[in-house]
Amino acid sequence: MFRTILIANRGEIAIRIARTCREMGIRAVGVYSAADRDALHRRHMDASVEIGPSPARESYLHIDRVLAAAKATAAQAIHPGYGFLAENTEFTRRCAEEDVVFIGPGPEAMAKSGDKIGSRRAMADLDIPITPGSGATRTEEEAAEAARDLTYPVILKASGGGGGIGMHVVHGPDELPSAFRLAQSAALASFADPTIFVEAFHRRPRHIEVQVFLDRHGNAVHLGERECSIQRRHQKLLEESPSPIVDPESRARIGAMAVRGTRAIGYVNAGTVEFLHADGRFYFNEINARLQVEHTITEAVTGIDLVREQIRVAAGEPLSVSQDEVTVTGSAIECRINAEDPTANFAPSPGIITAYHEPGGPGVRVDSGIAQGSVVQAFYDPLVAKVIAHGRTRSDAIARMGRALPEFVIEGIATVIPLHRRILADDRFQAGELATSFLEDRGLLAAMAGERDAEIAALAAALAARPSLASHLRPAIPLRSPPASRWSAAGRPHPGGDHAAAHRARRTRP
Amino acid sequence: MRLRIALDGRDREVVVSGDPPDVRVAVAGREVPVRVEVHEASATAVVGDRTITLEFRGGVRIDGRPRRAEVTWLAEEDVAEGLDATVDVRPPMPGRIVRVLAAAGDRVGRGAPLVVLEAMKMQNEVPAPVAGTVREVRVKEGDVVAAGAVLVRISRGPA
Repeated sequence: MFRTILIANRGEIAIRIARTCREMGIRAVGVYSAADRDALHRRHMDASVEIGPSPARESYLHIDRVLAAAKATAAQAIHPGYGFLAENTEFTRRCAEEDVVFIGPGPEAMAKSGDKIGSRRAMADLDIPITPGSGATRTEEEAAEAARDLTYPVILKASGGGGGIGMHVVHGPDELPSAFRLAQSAALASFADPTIFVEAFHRRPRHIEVQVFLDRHGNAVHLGERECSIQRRHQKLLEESPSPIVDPESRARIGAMAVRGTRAIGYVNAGTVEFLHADGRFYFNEINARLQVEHTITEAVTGIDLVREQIRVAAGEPLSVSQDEVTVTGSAIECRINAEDPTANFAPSPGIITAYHEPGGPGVRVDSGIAQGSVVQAFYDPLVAKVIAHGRTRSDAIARMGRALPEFVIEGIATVIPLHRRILADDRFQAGELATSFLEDRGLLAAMAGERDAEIAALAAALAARPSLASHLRPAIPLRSPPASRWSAAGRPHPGGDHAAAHRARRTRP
Repeated sequence: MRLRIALDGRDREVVVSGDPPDVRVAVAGREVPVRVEVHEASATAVVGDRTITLEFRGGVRIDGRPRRAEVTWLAEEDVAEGLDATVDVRPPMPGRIVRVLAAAGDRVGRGAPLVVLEAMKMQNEVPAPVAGTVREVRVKEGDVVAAGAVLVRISRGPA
């Protein structure tokens, strides 16, 4: 077993991985950028190494610096978390060269998973249903011809990677040329590969994914499915396990397909096979060769520590469960807490956390990368925390999450918690009627945009009822420095100079 | 009553009509009924299916979260008519009174400096938000004041 693992990530996932390391008696080494010198995740590590300036490209994505940190701390293995280098084939190759174990699949399986066109073909060869689609289309003409054959609407996708990047829905031939150009440039920017392919577009699909685990001894299991249909711009917001529409027979069927597909490409360790469910059928979508953000809900319903399994498999040990021993108990929901303002078109909301208190109680888990005093900056992913609620039934889990979210105190930034509360209260959500267009279909995004105006109306009504309350608000006339002050006498620049000019300017406005 | 409210950077002209607790607020081209109850330093407003709580103390908290808000009264007649005759002047942040510039009985115009407050190593003049007569000055030089404390009370009226 490893004595030291380097965790090449930050925030909540770095802490989550470190926790399992310490339970296993493994030394956890962290890394941090300049911006993260005071970050919470450092406090959960046995040691941490500064690996560069704040931009991710110069720190968390910098392969040489991450490997140097592993060498300097005698780490035998690296856990990449999710995002950053987690699906970087070059990084897995370099780890192998440097004799450091990468906790995840090998370079070949990772490359095959990352090749979206290739993996579709591989699944089709195994008789796993795939969405009708084309091979690589290098020009607008090729794409247009493929789209004609599939019939509109179609969706353009990047072959070099997933995560919704470069995806464009095209409703008719006149939209295709510009959509194709945009998709190509997005694909080139994110994956250094402009290859685009065309798929038939499913209206209102459900996103249902299967967690798989394979070891180096030929064992493989699936750990049930997760439904991740609640998305905004292809980014997941709320996930649940099990899916409200998957019965035990379907679970066994898609589980077996997922295992068969990943086995065939030589996959090892934790992985996720994504399906789209449309027209009553499951269609293979893509393979995610990493531990996912929402692994937590699978942990809740199966009782298995997925990070522990990852470490054991990477160390050459066999899986700790057989398929017969895997059970799904109850229902779990995860709400991703992003530092974004849902009333202001999800504008990022950086800031300093001035008050912080996590929810608790039975069946509630919080994985968080922030605490009181943390500085949330614009450099990285807006995900700052996750709340997971587990109950005996789906409605218990919904009630539990609805109880827990208002307990979560996070002051100093805006978060998406108000949107989550609306989702949980929605009757279609409660009935399990989901689709990836849920937020738009239910008008929840528009309702959130109207929240700010509701607050303004409330404030206006309060001031109309008692105008003296206005004395608590920032004065419409700004404070200014007095004209003659100790500052000028001391020869220092007048601190209120600009203030005074602004004040004069305001006063002359009608 | 017409006001301009800026909340976290979103600027809106708002018209409030009717008598509290049941008023009608026109904002962003829509009129919504609002039921509002106000207390000394807080208020509860029901807007649609949402109950919004407001707390005022050297700033405003909406549903527990501190927000940046600015208010401008748009029509002078709205300001003068039927509103509180006495206005309390409060600092937006805690600090120390360095100088007191007004005394009870002074007639002041809107924007006239009342006290000089030292906060965060800078000196700031706190201006009169309305024109009128100074009724009461509650602080003296050297006092340390909390955000939201009453510094001066002004009776509305001509300057």
